[in-house]
Amino acid sequence: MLSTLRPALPIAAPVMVGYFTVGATFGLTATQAGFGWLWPVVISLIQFAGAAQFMIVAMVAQGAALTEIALVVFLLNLRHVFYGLPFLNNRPRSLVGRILMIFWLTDETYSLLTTRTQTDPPPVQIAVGGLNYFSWAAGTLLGSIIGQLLPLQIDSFAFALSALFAILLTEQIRAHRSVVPLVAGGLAVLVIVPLEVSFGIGMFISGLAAIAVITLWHVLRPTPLNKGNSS
Amino acid sequence: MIPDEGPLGWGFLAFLLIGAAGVFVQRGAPYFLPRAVMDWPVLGTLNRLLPGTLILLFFLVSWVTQAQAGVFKAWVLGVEIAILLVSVGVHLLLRQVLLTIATAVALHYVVFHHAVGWFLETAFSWSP
Repeated sequence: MLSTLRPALPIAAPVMVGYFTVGATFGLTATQAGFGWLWPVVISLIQFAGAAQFMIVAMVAQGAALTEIALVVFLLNLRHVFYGLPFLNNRPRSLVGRILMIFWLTDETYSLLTTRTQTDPPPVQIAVGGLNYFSWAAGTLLGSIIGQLLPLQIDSFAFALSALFAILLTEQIRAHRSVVPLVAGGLAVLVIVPLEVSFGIGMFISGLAAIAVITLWHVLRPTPLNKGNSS
Repeated sequence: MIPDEGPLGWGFLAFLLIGAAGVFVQRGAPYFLPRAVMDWPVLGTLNRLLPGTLILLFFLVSWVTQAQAGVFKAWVLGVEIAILLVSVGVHLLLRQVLLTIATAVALHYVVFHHAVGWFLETAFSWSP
């Protein structure tokens, strides 16, 4: 156990620090949104899905139905379908190991493990995921307790969610150096303008429209080969 | 013990468990799906661009549905967007998520609980 954790700890440390603070933010904002101190911890332990957890809290606070939340979270987590690919040839031998590997494979753990110069053995990879998981849960617990101990509910804490989404959007645009999300979002929301829909249904319908817009952009965009032919 | 308040209760716990199973299936897709499906190029593009689009839609859909429900206030939106832009500036400068969020919450609190209240008390009319 220790022989596995010792090499995993320095690999996981940067993400553990980040997860602890963002987990604490999640606990604090969820508590202030009326989730009590226990629910945020339960959500972190069961879901362990970063932005999706914030989306769940925001949508519950907006009064969205659970089915609507599920559909939006499904779309938001669509990116995860690729994360297991680099590990297919180096998968854990045991079933429990494989289950843990999949459950703990988040954006940051994926980034950590796929940018290593050498491929770590599966037990070390699992330990990195586990350390990140427990940092996230511990941060959530601390944030929830702080949120519960605050003497008053401050409406402005709900704004923390909007701030976090603004940060995530900025990071997405920076990481992919593309304005397509802005254009696709702007076009997709037009679909629900003439409709009288709830927030959750609106998110799902416009989410599907966004998939259509991005797919269309993927098909129609000029590829390097096309550029070469046209010049 | 499961706290049962409003939408939170056993149904919500079941929702979380089913949702976790869904996330598990998505994260483990390469283990379950044929390689041909995983190699579909459009999936790669969606993988990169859809999360940012959905986060933007969170704002846009929220504003549209508020307008449809008649609870939309343009000046509130304008002030909140200004606070968000300042917060994004702080984030780009310092790269500290927690500090950025604290800045946004503090600005929001000062503006809406003090500054706007002061304007209202001095008989400034925001509404047409």
